[in-house]
Amino acid sequence: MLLPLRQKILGGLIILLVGVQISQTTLTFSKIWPLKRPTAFIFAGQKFASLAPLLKGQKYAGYYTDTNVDEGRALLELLQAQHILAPLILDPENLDHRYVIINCVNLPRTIEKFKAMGARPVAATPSGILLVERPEFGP
Amino acid sequence: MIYLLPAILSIALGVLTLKAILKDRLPGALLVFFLGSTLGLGLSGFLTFTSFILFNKLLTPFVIVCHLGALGYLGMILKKSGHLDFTGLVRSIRRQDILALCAIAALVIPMILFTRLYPYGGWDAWGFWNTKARFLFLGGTNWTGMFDPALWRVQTSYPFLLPLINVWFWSFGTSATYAVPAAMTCIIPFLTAGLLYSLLMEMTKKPWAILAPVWIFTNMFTIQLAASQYSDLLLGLFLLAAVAMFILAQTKQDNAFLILTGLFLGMMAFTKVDGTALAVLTLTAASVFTLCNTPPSTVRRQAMVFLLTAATVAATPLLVFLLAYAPANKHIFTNGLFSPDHPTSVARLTTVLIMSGQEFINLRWSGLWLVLGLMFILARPHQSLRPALRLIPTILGSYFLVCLITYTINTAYPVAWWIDSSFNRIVLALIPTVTLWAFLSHEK
Repeated sequence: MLLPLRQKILGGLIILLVGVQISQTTLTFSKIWPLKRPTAFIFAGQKFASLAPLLKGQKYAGYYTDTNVDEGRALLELLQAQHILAPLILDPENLDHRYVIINCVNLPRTIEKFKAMGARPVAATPSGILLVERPEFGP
Repeated sequence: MIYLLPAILSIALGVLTLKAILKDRLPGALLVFFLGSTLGLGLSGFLTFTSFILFNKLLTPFVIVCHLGALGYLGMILKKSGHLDFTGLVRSIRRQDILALCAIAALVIPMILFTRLYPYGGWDAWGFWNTKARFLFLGGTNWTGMFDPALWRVQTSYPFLLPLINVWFWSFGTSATYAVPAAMTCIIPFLTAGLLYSLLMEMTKKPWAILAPVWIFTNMFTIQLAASQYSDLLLGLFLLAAVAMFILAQTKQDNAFLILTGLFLGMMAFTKVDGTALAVLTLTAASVFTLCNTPPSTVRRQAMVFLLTAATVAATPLLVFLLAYAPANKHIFTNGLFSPDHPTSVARLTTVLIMSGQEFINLRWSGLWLVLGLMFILARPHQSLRPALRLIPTILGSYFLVCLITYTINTAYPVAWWIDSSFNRIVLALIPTVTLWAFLSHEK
Protein backbone atom coordinates (compact mmCIF):
# COMPACT_ATOMS: atom_id res chain seq x y z
CA MET A 1 0.00 0.00 0.00
CA LEU A 2 1.63 3.24 -1.13
CA LEU A 3 1.10 6.21 1.16
CA PRO A 4 1.21 9.81 -0.03
CA LEU A 5 4.43 11.60 0.90
CA ARG A 6 2.75 13.78 3.53
CA GLN A 7 1.34 10.73 5.32
CA LYS A 8 4.79 9.11 5.27
CA ILE A 9 6.29 12.26 6.80
CA LEU A 10 3.60 12.50 9.45
CA GLY A 11 3.77 8.78 10.22
CA GLY A 12 7.54 8.97 10.60
CA LEU A 13 7.25 12.02 12.81
CA ILE A 14 4.69 10.35 15.05
CA ILE A 15 6.80 7.18 15.33
CA LEU A 16 9.80 9.34 16.23
CA LEU A 17 7.78 11.15 18.90
CA VAL A 18 6.54 7.83 20.27
CA GLY A 19 10.14 6.67 20.59
CA VAL A 20 11.12 9.87 22.37
CA GLN A 21 8.12 9.62 24.69
CA ILE A 22 8.80 5.99 25.57
CA SER A 23 12.39 6.91 26.43
CA GLN A 24 11.29 9.90 28.52
CA THR A 25 8.63 7.88 30.32
CA THR A 26 11.07 5.05 31.07
CA LEU A 27 13.64 7.53 32.35
CA THR A 28 11.09 9.32 34.52
CA PHE A 29 9.85 6.13 36.09
CA SER A 30 13.38 4.87 36.74
CA LYS A 31 14.10 8.15 38.57
CA ILE A 32 10.95 8.48 40.64
CA TRP A 33 10.29 4.80 41.41
CA PRO A 34 12.98 4.34 44.10
CA LEU A 35 12.15 7.71 45.60
CA LYS A 36 8.37 7.49 45.67
CA ARG A 37 7.65 3.78 46.11
CA PRO A 38 8.61 3.59 49.81
CA THR A 39 6.28 6.52 50.60
CA ALA A 40 3.43 5.62 48.23
CA PHE A 41 0.96 4.78 50.96
CA ILE A 42 1.84 7.66 53.26
CA PHE A 43 -1.35 9.69 53.39
CA ALA A 44 -1.70 12.65 55.72
CA GLY A 45 -5.33 11.73 56.30
CA GLN A 46 -4.31 8.46 57.97
CA LYS A 47 -3.43 10.29 61.18
CA PHE A 48 -7.14 11.01 61.63
CA ALA A 49 -8.25 7.42 60.99
CA SER A 50 -8.17 6.36 64.64
CA LEU A 51 -10.80 9.02 65.45
CA ALA A 52 -13.39 7.40 63.15
CA PRO A 53 -14.75 4.84 65.67
CA LEU A 54 -15.09 7.58 68.30
CA LEU A 55 -17.17 9.71 65.93
CA LYS A 56 -19.44 6.93 64.69
CA GLY A 57 -23.04 8.11 64.53
CA GLN A 58 -22.08 11.77 64.37
CA LYS A 59 -23.03 13.78 61.29
CA TYR A 60 -20.75 16.76 61.95
CA ALA A 61 -17.53 17.51 63.75
CA GLY A 62 -15.85 20.85 64.06
CA TYR A 63 -12.33 21.14 62.69
CA TYR A 64 -9.91 23.61 64.19
CA THR A 65 -6.46 24.57 62.98
CA ASP A 66 -4.36 27.59 63.90
CA THR A 67 -3.01 27.98 60.35
CA ASN A 68 -4.87 29.20 57.28
CA VAL A 69 -7.08 26.25 56.40
CA ASP A 70 -7.39 27.34 52.77
CA GLU A 71 -3.71 27.24 51.94
CA GLY A 72 -1.00 24.68 51.42
CA ARG A 73 -0.47 21.90 53.94
CA ALA A 74 -3.41 22.94 56.10
CA LEU A 75 -5.85 22.59 53.20
CA LEU A 76 -4.30 19.27 52.21
CA GLU A 77 -4.72 17.89 55.72
CA LEU A 78 -8.31 19.13 55.98
CA LEU A 79 -9.30 17.52 52.66
CA GLN A 80 -7.49 14.27 53.45
CA ALA A 81 -9.03 14.18 56.92
CA GLN A 82 -12.42 14.70 55.28
CA HIS A 83 -11.67 11.86 52.87
CA ILE A 84 -10.72 9.44 55.63
CA LEU A 85 -13.56 10.37 57.99
CA ALA A 86 -16.34 10.53 55.36
CA PRO A 87 -19.33 10.43 55.70
CA LEU A 88 -18.62 12.59 58.75
CA ILE A 89 -18.75 16.25 57.72
CA LEU A 90 -15.81 18.31 58.98
CA ASP A 91 -16.78 21.92 59.59
CA PRO A 92 -13.83 24.30 59.83
CA GLU A 93 -16.10 27.37 59.79
CA ASN A 94 -18.19 26.45 62.79
CA LEU A 95 -16.92 24.93 66.04
CA ASP A 96 -20.38 24.72 67.62
CA HIS A 97 -20.55 20.96 67.30
CA ARG A 98 -20.45 18.28 69.97
CA TYR A 99 -17.03 17.09 68.84
CA VAL A 100 -14.16 19.18 67.50
CA ILE A 101 -11.00 17.83 65.90
CA ILE A 102 -7.96 19.93 66.67
CA ASN A 103 -4.98 19.89 64.33
CA CYS A 104 -2.67 22.67 65.45
CA VAL A 105 0.88 23.87 65.39
CA ASN A 106 0.68 25.65 68.75
CA LEU A 107 -1.05 22.99 70.82
CA PRO A 108 -0.66 24.47 74.35
CA ARG A 109 -2.31 27.76 73.36
CA THR A 110 -5.10 25.90 71.59
CA ILE A 111 -5.70 23.63 74.59
CA GLU A 112 -6.08 26.68 76.81
CA LYS A 113 -8.51 28.22 74.30
CA PHE A 114 -10.74 25.14 74.29
CA LYS A 115 -10.51 24.72 78.07
CA ALA A 116 -11.87 28.23 78.37
CA MET A 117 -14.73 27.17 76.08
CA GLY A 118 -15.59 24.32 78.46
CA ALA A 119 -14.41 21.55 76.14
CA ARG A 120 -13.12 18.31 77.59
CA PRO A 121 -10.52 16.07 75.92
CA VAL A 122 -11.70 12.77 74.48
CA ALA A 123 -8.70 11.37 72.62
CA ALA A 124 -5.28 12.21 71.27
CA THR A 125 -3.47 10.46 68.42
CA PRO A 126 0.27 9.77 68.38
CA SER A 127 0.63 12.40 65.63
CA GLY A 128 -0.79 15.17 67.82
CA ILE A 129 -4.40 15.30 66.65
CA LEU A 130 -6.82 16.02 69.49
CA LEU A 131 -10.50 15.23 69.76
CA VAL A 132 -12.44 17.31 72.27
CA GLU A 133 -16.08 17.27 73.29
CA ARG A 134 -18.23 20.32 73.86
CA PRO A 135 -21.04 18.92 76.02
CA GLU A 136 -23.22 22.03 75.58
CA PHE A 137 -23.73 20.95 71.94
CA GLY A 138 -24.42 17.32 72.81
CA PRO A 139 -27.75 15.52 72.53
CA MET B 1 -11.25 -11.05 41.70
CA ILE B 2 -14.74 -10.29 43.04
CA TYR B 3 -14.56 -7.00 41.17
CA LEU B 4 -14.62 -8.89 37.87
CA LEU B 5 -18.32 -9.51 38.44
CA PRO B 6 -19.44 -5.87 38.18
CA ALA B 7 -17.11 -5.47 35.21
CA ILE B 8 -18.74 -8.41 33.43
CA LEU B 9 -22.22 -7.12 34.23
CA SER B 10 -21.37 -3.64 32.97
CA ILE B 11 -19.78 -4.90 29.75
CA ALA B 12 -22.70 -7.25 29.11
CA LEU B 13 -25.18 -4.44 29.72
CA GLY B 14 -23.36 -2.15 27.32
CA VAL B 15 -22.93 -4.74 24.59
CA LEU B 16 -26.56 -5.90 24.75
CA THR B 17 -27.74 -2.27 24.67
CA LEU B 18 -25.57 -1.73 21.59
CA LYS B 19 -27.05 -4.83 19.98
CA ALA B 20 -30.58 -3.73 20.82
CA ILE B 21 -29.96 -0.34 19.18
CA LEU B 22 -27.92 -1.43 16.15
CA LYS B 23 -29.28 -4.99 15.75
CA ASP B 24 -27.48 -6.61 12.80
CA ARG B 25 -25.56 -3.44 11.96
CA LEU B 26 -22.98 -3.92 14.71
CA PRO B 27 -19.48 -2.75 13.76
CA GLY B 28 -16.36 -4.89 14.26
CA ALA B 29 -15.79 -7.00 17.36
CA LEU B 30 -13.17 -4.75 18.91
CA LEU B 31 -15.28 -1.64 18.48
CA VAL B 32 -18.29 -3.44 19.93
CA PHE B 33 -16.20 -4.42 22.97
CA PHE B 34 -14.82 -0.94 23.66
CA LEU B 35 -17.99 0.92 22.81
CA GLY B 36 -20.08 -1.55 24.80
CA SER B 37 -17.77 -1.31 27.81
CA THR B 38 -17.91 2.49 27.74
CA LEU B 39 -21.69 2.45 27.44
CA GLY B 40 -21.93 -0.18 30.16
CA LEU B 41 -19.85 1.81 32.63
CA GLY B 42 -22.08 4.85 32.20
CA LEU B 43 -25.27 2.80 32.44
CA SER B 44 -24.02 1.09 35.60
CA GLY B 45 -23.33 4.49 37.14
CA PHE B 46 -26.86 5.60 36.24
CA LEU B 47 -28.43 2.44 37.68
CA THR B 48 -26.45 2.91 40.90
CA PHE B 49 -27.76 6.48 41.17
CA THR B 50 -31.31 5.11 40.82
CA SER B 51 -30.89 3.45 44.21
CA PHE B 52 -30.13 6.81 45.84
CA ILE B 53 -33.05 8.52 44.13
CA LEU B 54 -35.61 5.85 45.01
CA PHE B 55 -34.41 4.70 48.43
CA ASN B 56 -32.23 7.61 49.58
CA LYS B 57 -29.31 5.21 50.09
CA LEU B 58 -27.22 2.56 48.38
CA LEU B 59 -29.14 -0.72 48.18
CA THR B 60 -26.70 -3.07 46.52
CA PRO B 61 -29.19 -5.92 45.93
CA PHE B 62 -31.49 -3.45 44.16
CA VAL B 63 -28.70 -2.21 41.91
CA ILE B 64 -27.68 -5.78 41.04
CA VAL B 65 -31.31 -6.73 40.36
CA CYS B 66 -31.60 -3.67 38.10
CA HIS B 67 -28.59 -4.85 36.13
CA LEU B 68 -29.85 -8.41 35.88
CA GLY B 69 -33.33 -7.20 35.03
CA ALA B 70 -31.99 -4.96 32.28
CA LEU B 71 -29.86 -7.80 30.93
CA GLY B 72 -32.82 -10.16 31.02
CA TYR B 73 -35.10 -7.67 29.30
CA LEU B 74 -32.58 -6.87 26.59
CA GLY B 75 -31.85 -10.55 26.09
CA MET B 76 -35.56 -11.28 25.75
CA ILE B 77 -36.27 -8.60 23.16
CA LEU B 78 -33.16 -9.53 21.19
CA LYS B 79 -34.13 -13.21 21.22
CA LYS B 80 -37.65 -12.38 20.08
CA SER B 81 -36.32 -10.28 17.22
CA GLY B 82 -33.73 -12.92 16.34
CA HIS B 83 -30.72 -10.70 17.07
CA LEU B 84 -29.26 -12.46 20.10
CA ASP B 85 -26.66 -14.34 18.08
CA PHE B 86 -23.07 -13.09 18.59
CA THR B 87 -21.25 -15.97 16.88
CA GLY B 88 -20.72 -13.95 13.71
CA LEU B 89 -19.16 -11.18 15.73
CA VAL B 90 -16.87 -13.57 17.58
CA ARG B 91 -15.85 -15.27 14.33
CA SER B 92 -14.97 -11.88 12.86
CA ILE B 93 -12.13 -11.42 15.37
CA ARG B 94 -8.88 -11.44 13.45
CA ARG B 95 -5.27 -11.93 14.51
CA GLN B 96 -4.77 -8.21 13.84
CA ASP B 97 -7.44 -7.45 16.45
CA ILE B 98 -5.70 -9.63 19.05
CA LEU B 99 -2.37 -7.96 18.36
CA ALA B 100 -3.93 -4.52 18.61
CA LEU B 101 -5.60 -5.50 21.88
CA CYS B 102 -2.21 -6.60 23.25
CA ALA B 103 -0.63 -3.30 22.19
CA ILE B 104 -3.44 -1.32 23.82
CA ALA B 105 -3.17 -3.41 26.98
CA ALA B 106 0.57 -2.68 27.04
CA LEU B 107 -0.23 1.04 27.09
CA VAL B 108 -1.85 0.52 30.49
CA ILE B 109 1.39 -0.72 32.09
CA PRO B 110 2.75 2.76 32.85
CA MET B 111 -0.69 3.68 34.28
CA ILE B 112 -0.48 0.69 36.62
CA LEU B 113 3.05 1.68 37.64
CA PHE B 114 1.88 5.24 38.31
CA THR B 115 -0.93 4.02 40.55
CA ARG B 116 1.61 1.94 42.49
CA LEU B 117 3.40 5.21 43.26
CA TYR B 118 0.25 7.26 43.85
CA PRO B 119 -2.42 4.79 44.99
CA TYR B 120 -4.69 7.53 46.30
CA GLY B 121 -4.45 9.58 43.11
CA GLY B 122 -3.98 13.30 42.73
CA TRP B 123 -5.42 16.18 44.72
CA ASP B 124 -8.83 16.20 43.03
CA ALA B 125 -9.10 12.44 43.53
CA TRP B 126 -8.81 12.29 47.32
CA GLY B 127 -10.08 15.86 47.62
CA PHE B 128 -13.31 15.52 45.62
CA TRP B 129 -14.12 12.43 43.60
CA ASN B 130 -13.15 9.65 46.00
CA THR B 131 -14.50 11.60 48.99
CA LYS B 132 -17.87 11.81 47.23
CA ALA B 133 -17.65 8.08 46.49
CA ARG B 134 -17.07 7.40 50.20
CA PHE B 135 -20.12 9.50 51.12
CA LEU B 136 -22.18 7.51 48.63
CA PHE B 137 -20.87 4.12 49.74
CA LEU B 138 -20.59 4.66 53.51
CA GLY B 139 -23.15 7.39 54.17
CA GLY B 140 -26.36 5.37 54.23
CA THR B 141 -29.19 7.88 54.22
CA ASN B 142 -26.65 10.61 55.03
CA TRP B 143 -25.09 10.35 51.56
CA THR B 144 -26.53 13.80 50.85
CA GLY B 145 -24.03 15.13 53.40
CA MET B 146 -21.68 15.50 50.43
CA PHE B 147 -23.84 18.47 49.35
CA ASP B 148 -23.54 20.17 52.76
CA PRO B 149 -22.45 23.83 52.51
CA ALA B 150 -19.64 23.11 54.98
CA LEU B 151 -18.07 20.94 52.26
CA TRP B 152 -17.84 23.67 49.63
CA ARG B 153 -14.17 22.85 49.19
CA VAL B 154 -15.24 19.41 47.89
CA GLN B 155 -17.06 20.98 44.90
CA THR B 156 -20.54 20.18 46.15
CA SER B 157 -22.23 21.44 43.01
CA TYR B 158 -20.41 19.06 40.65
CA PRO B 159 -22.10 16.02 39.08
CA PHE B 160 -20.56 12.72 40.08
CA LEU B 161 -20.77 9.86 37.58
CA LEU B 162 -17.23 8.59 38.27
CA PRO B 163 -17.87 8.23 42.02
CA LEU B 164 -21.08 6.34 41.22
CA ILE B 165 -19.16 3.98 38.94
CA ASN B 166 -16.61 3.38 41.72
CA VAL B 167 -19.45 2.75 44.18
CA TRP B 168 -20.91 0.16 41.78
CA PHE B 169 -17.64 -1.76 41.92
CA TRP B 170 -17.23 -1.28 45.70
CA SER B 171 -20.72 -2.79 46.15
CA PHE B 172 -19.30 -6.24 45.45
CA GLY B 173 -16.66 -5.99 48.16
CA THR B 174 -16.84 -5.10 51.81
CA SER B 175 -14.94 -1.82 51.97
CA ALA B 176 -14.27 1.40 50.12
CA THR B 177 -10.86 0.12 49.09
CA TYR B 178 -8.43 2.44 47.31
CA ALA B 179 -7.84 -0.37 44.81
CA VAL B 180 -11.11 0.23 42.92
CA PRO B 181 -10.52 3.88 41.97
CA ALA B 182 -6.90 2.97 41.26
CA ALA B 183 -8.00 0.19 38.90
CA MET B 184 -10.65 2.43 37.30
CA THR B 185 -7.97 5.01 36.52
CA CYS B 186 -6.23 2.32 34.45
CA ILE B 187 -9.42 1.01 32.85
CA ILE B 188 -10.54 4.39 31.51
CA PRO B 189 -7.33 5.03 29.50
CA PHE B 190 -7.52 1.41 28.26
CA LEU B 191 -11.05 2.00 26.99
CA THR B 192 -10.09 5.37 25.50
CA ALA B 193 -7.08 3.94 23.67
CA GLY B 194 -9.06 0.93 22.47
CA LEU B 195 -12.04 3.00 21.38
CA LEU B 196 -9.84 5.43 19.45
CA TYR B 197 -8.03 2.60 17.66
CA SER B 198 -11.15 0.61 16.83
CA LEU B 199 -12.99 3.71 15.61
CA LEU B 200 -10.11 4.58 13.28
CA MET B 201 -9.97 0.98 12.05
CA GLU B 202 -13.73 0.98 11.44
CA MET B 203 -13.58 4.25 9.53
CA THR B 204 -10.27 3.91 7.68
CA LYS B 205 -9.44 0.16 7.64
CA LYS B 206 -5.78 1.17 7.97
CA PRO B 207 -3.51 -0.64 10.46
CA TRP B 208 -1.61 2.57 11.25
CA ALA B 209 -4.66 3.47 13.33
CA ILE B 210 -2.70 1.93 16.24
CA LEU B 211 -0.36 4.93 16.08
CA ALA B 212 -3.07 7.24 17.45
CA PRO B 213 -3.53 5.70 20.92
CA VAL B 214 0.16 4.74 21.20
CA TRP B 215 1.14 8.33 20.47
CA ILE B 216 -1.23 9.74 23.07
CA PHE B 217 -0.65 7.29 25.91
CA THR B 218 3.14 7.04 25.83
CA ASN B 219 3.42 10.70 26.85
CA MET B 220 4.43 10.98 30.53
CA PHE B 221 2.25 14.00 31.27
CA THR B 222 -0.78 12.25 29.77
CA ILE B 223 0.01 9.17 31.83
CA GLN B 224 0.26 11.31 34.96
CA LEU B 225 -3.06 13.08 34.36
CA ALA B 226 -4.87 9.95 33.19
CA ALA B 227 -3.69 7.84 36.13
CA SER B 228 -4.45 10.43 38.83
CA GLN B 229 -8.04 9.18 39.32
CA TYR B 230 -9.63 12.32 37.89
CA SER B 231 -12.84 12.55 35.85
CA ASP B 232 -11.29 14.38 32.92
CA LEU B 233 -10.35 11.40 30.79
CA LEU B 234 -13.74 9.79 31.46
CA LEU B 235 -15.25 12.98 30.06
CA GLY B 236 -12.90 12.65 27.09
CA LEU B 237 -13.95 9.04 26.58
CA PHE B 238 -17.64 9.93 26.46
CA LEU B 239 -16.93 12.88 24.14
CA LEU B 240 -14.97 10.65 21.77
CA ALA B 241 -17.78 8.09 21.76
CA ALA B 242 -20.51 10.71 21.22
CA VAL B 243 -18.69 12.46 18.39
CA ALA B 244 -17.75 9.18 16.70
CA MET B 245 -21.32 7.91 16.85
CA PHE B 246 -22.47 11.15 15.24
CA ILE B 247 -19.88 10.77 12.47
CA LEU B 248 -21.03 7.18 11.85
CA ALA B 249 -24.67 8.36 11.81
CA GLN B 250 -23.77 10.87 9.09
CA THR B 251 -21.52 8.62 6.99
CA LYS B 252 -23.70 5.52 7.18
CA GLN B 253 -26.94 7.57 7.11
CA ASP B 254 -28.10 5.40 10.00
CA ASN B 255 -30.14 7.25 12.61
CA ALA B 256 -29.68 4.46 15.18
CA PHE B 257 -26.18 5.83 15.87
CA LEU B 258 -27.79 9.09 16.98
CA ILE B 259 -29.36 7.21 19.90
CA LEU B 260 -25.85 6.33 21.02
CA THR B 261 -24.75 9.94 20.48
CA GLY B 262 -27.50 11.11 22.81
CA LEU B 263 -26.72 8.47 25.45
CA PHE B 264 -23.02 9.35 25.56
CA LEU B 265 -23.81 13.06 25.73
CA GLY B 266 -26.03 12.47 28.75
CA MET B 267 -23.27 10.49 30.45
CA MET B 268 -20.74 13.19 29.64
CA ALA B 269 -23.02 15.83 31.14
CA PHE B 270 -23.16 13.93 34.44
CA THR B 271 -19.38 13.54 34.69
CA LYS B 272 -18.23 17.11 35.42
CA VAL B 273 -19.49 20.67 35.07
CA ASP B 274 -17.19 20.97 32.05
CA GLY B 275 -18.93 17.90 30.66
CA THR B 276 -22.32 19.53 31.10
CA ALA B 277 -21.21 22.58 29.12
CA LEU B 278 -19.61 20.40 26.44
CA ALA B 279 -22.71 18.20 26.20
CA VAL B 280 -24.99 21.20 25.68
CA LEU B 281 -22.68 22.60 23.00
CA THR B 282 -22.33 19.23 21.26
CA LEU B 283 -26.04 18.50 21.34
CA THR B 284 -26.82 21.94 19.91
CA ALA B 285 -24.27 21.57 17.14
CA ALA B 286 -25.28 17.98 16.41
CA SER B 287 -28.92 19.03 16.15
CA VAL B 288 -28.08 21.82 13.70
CA PHE B 289 -25.93 19.56 11.54
CA THR B 290 -28.58 16.84 11.62
CA LEU B 291 -31.20 19.30 10.45
CA CYS B 292 -28.91 20.58 7.70
CA ASN B 293 -27.41 17.31 6.48
CA THR B 294 -30.26 14.83 6.63
CA PRO B 295 -32.66 14.63 3.75
CA PRO B 296 -35.54 13.82 3.35
CA SER B 297 -37.67 15.45 5.99
CA THR B 298 -39.13 12.19 7.34
CA VAL B 299 -35.65 10.79 8.00
CA ARG B 300 -34.60 14.15 9.44
CA ARG B 301 -37.55 14.10 11.81
CA GLN B 302 -36.68 10.59 12.95
CA ALA B 303 -33.04 11.61 13.40
CA MET B 304 -33.97 14.53 15.64
CA VAL B 305 -36.37 12.40 17.67
CA PHE B 306 -33.70 9.73 18.22
CA LEU B 307 -31.00 12.24 19.15
CA LEU B 308 -33.06 14.43 21.44
CA THR B 309 -34.96 11.59 23.11
CA ALA B 310 -31.79 9.64 23.90
CA ALA B 311 -30.06 12.77 25.17
CA THR B 312 -33.02 13.70 27.36
CA VAL B 313 -33.30 10.19 28.82
CA ALA B 314 -29.56 10.07 29.50
CA ALA B 315 -29.63 13.56 30.98
CA THR B 316 -32.31 12.57 33.53
CA PRO B 317 -29.78 11.81 36.30
CA LEU B 318 -28.21 15.22 35.77
CA LEU B 319 -31.60 16.94 35.80
CA VAL B 320 -32.60 15.12 39.00
CA PHE B 321 -29.29 16.12 40.59
CA LEU B 322 -29.67 19.77 39.55
CA LEU B 323 -33.29 20.03 40.64
CA ALA B 324 -33.21 17.97 43.84
CA TYR B 325 -29.70 17.95 45.24
CA ALA B 326 -27.22 20.43 43.77
CA PRO B 327 -26.49 23.21 46.22
CA ALA B 328 -25.44 26.69 45.25
CA ASN B 329 -21.76 27.18 45.91
CA LYS B 330 -20.99 30.87 46.13
CA HIS B 331 -17.36 30.12 46.91
CA ILE B 332 -16.59 28.91 43.40
CA PHE B 333 -18.19 31.66 41.33
CA THR B 334 -17.79 35.41 41.48
CA ASN B 335 -19.17 37.39 38.58
CA GLY B 336 -16.30 39.71 37.78
CA LEU B 337 -18.50 41.87 35.57
CA PHE B 338 -20.49 43.05 38.60
CA SER B 339 -18.22 42.44 41.56
CA PRO B 340 -16.71 45.60 43.09
CA ASP B 341 -14.22 43.54 45.16
CA HIS B 342 -13.05 41.15 42.45
CA PRO B 343 -13.67 42.83 39.11
CA THR B 344 -12.51 41.30 35.88
CA SER B 345 -10.25 43.29 33.57
CA VAL B 346 -8.60 43.38 30.20
CA ALA B 347 -5.41 42.27 31.93
CA ARG B 348 -7.19 39.13 33.16
CA LEU B 349 -8.46 38.41 29.65
CA THR B 350 -4.96 38.89 28.25
CA THR B 351 -3.53 36.52 30.84
CA VAL B 352 -6.18 33.96 29.99
CA LEU B 353 -5.40 34.16 26.27
CA ILE B 354 -1.65 33.98 26.71
CA MET B 355 -1.59 31.20 29.29
CA SER B 356 -4.11 29.04 27.47
CA GLY B 357 -2.18 29.48 24.23
CA GLN B 358 1.05 28.56 26.01
CA GLU B 359 -0.47 25.28 27.17
CA PHE B 360 -0.55 23.97 23.59
CA ILE B 361 3.16 24.57 23.04
CA ASN B 362 4.22 23.38 26.47
CA LEU B 363 6.98 20.77 26.17
CA ARG B 364 5.22 18.43 28.58
CA TRP B 365 2.92 17.43 25.71
CA SER B 366 6.04 16.47 23.66
CA GLY B 367 4.88 18.45 20.68
CA LEU B 368 1.53 16.62 20.44
CA TRP B 369 -0.46 19.73 19.66
CA LEU B 370 2.13 21.06 17.25
CA VAL B 371 2.10 17.83 15.24
CA LEU B 372 -1.71 17.71 15.36
CA GLY B 373 -1.64 21.25 13.98
CA LEU B 374 0.77 20.11 11.25
CA MET B 375 -1.58 17.24 10.39
CA PHE B 376 -4.40 19.72 9.82
CA ILE B 377 -2.16 22.02 7.78
CA LEU B 378 -1.05 19.14 5.54
CA ALA B 379 -4.59 17.77 5.18
CA ARG B 380 -6.70 19.28 2.47
CA PRO B 381 -9.32 21.67 3.95
CA HIS B 382 -12.14 19.94 2.15
CA GLN B 383 -11.08 16.70 3.88
CA SER B 384 -10.82 18.01 7.45
CA LEU B 385 -13.94 20.14 7.08
CA ARG B 386 -16.11 17.71 5.17
CA PRO B 387 -19.71 17.57 6.41
CA ALA B 388 -19.35 14.43 8.56
CA LEU B 389 -16.47 15.99 10.51
CA ARG B 390 -17.67 19.57 10.88
CA LEU B 391 -19.16 18.83 14.29
CA ILE B 392 -15.69 18.54 15.84
CA PRO B 393 -14.24 21.99 15.03
CA THR B 394 -17.63 23.51 15.84
CA ILE B 395 -17.76 22.12 19.36
CA LEU B 396 -14.03 22.72 19.94
CA GLY B 397 -14.32 26.37 18.93
CA SER B 398 -17.44 27.00 20.99
CA TYR B 399 -16.06 25.11 23.99
CA PHE B 400 -12.83 27.10 24.00
CA LEU B 401 -14.87 30.27 23.82
CA VAL B 402 -16.91 29.17 26.84
CA CYS B 403 -13.71 28.30 28.72
CA LEU B 404 -12.12 31.67 27.91
CA ILE B 405 -15.25 33.52 28.99
CA THR B 406 -15.47 31.49 32.21
CA TYR B 407 -11.83 32.05 33.13
CA THR B 408 -12.22 35.78 32.44
CA ILE B 409 -15.54 36.45 34.12
CA ASN B 410 -15.30 34.13 37.14
CA THR B 411 -12.95 36.00 39.44
CA ALA B 412 -13.36 33.64 42.42
CA TYR B 413 -9.85 32.30 41.78
CA PRO B 414 -6.51 33.94 40.93
CA VAL B 415 -6.35 33.53 37.18
CA ALA B 416 -2.77 32.29 36.81
CA TRP B 417 -3.17 29.57 39.44
CA TRP B 418 -6.56 28.53 38.07
CA ILE B 419 -5.41 28.15 34.47
CA ASP B 420 -2.18 26.48 35.50
CA SER B 421 -3.99 23.88 37.61
CA SER B 422 -7.04 23.20 35.44
CA PHE B 423 -6.56 24.03 31.76
CA ASN B 424 -4.22 21.12 31.11
CA ARG B 425 -7.00 18.75 32.18
CA ILE B 426 -9.52 20.47 29.92
CA VAL B 427 -7.04 19.95 27.11
CA LEU B 428 -6.49 16.29 28.08
CA ALA B 429 -10.19 15.54 27.69
CA LEU B 430 -10.12 16.87 24.12
CA ILE B 431 -7.03 15.00 22.91
CA PRO B 432 -8.72 11.73 21.84
CA THR B 433 -11.39 13.57 19.81
CA VAL B 434 -8.93 15.97 18.18
CA THR B 435 -6.64 13.05 17.31
CA LEU B 436 -9.55 11.20 15.73
CA TRP B 437 -10.32 14.31 13.69
CA ALA B 438 -6.68 14.73 12.65
CA PHE B 439 -6.35 11.13 11.46
CA LEU B 440 -9.68 11.20 9.65
CA SER B 441 -8.62 14.42 7.92
CA HIS B 442 -6.13 12.35 5.95
CA GLU B 443 -8.73 9.88 4.78
CA LYS B 444 -11.00 10.27 1.83
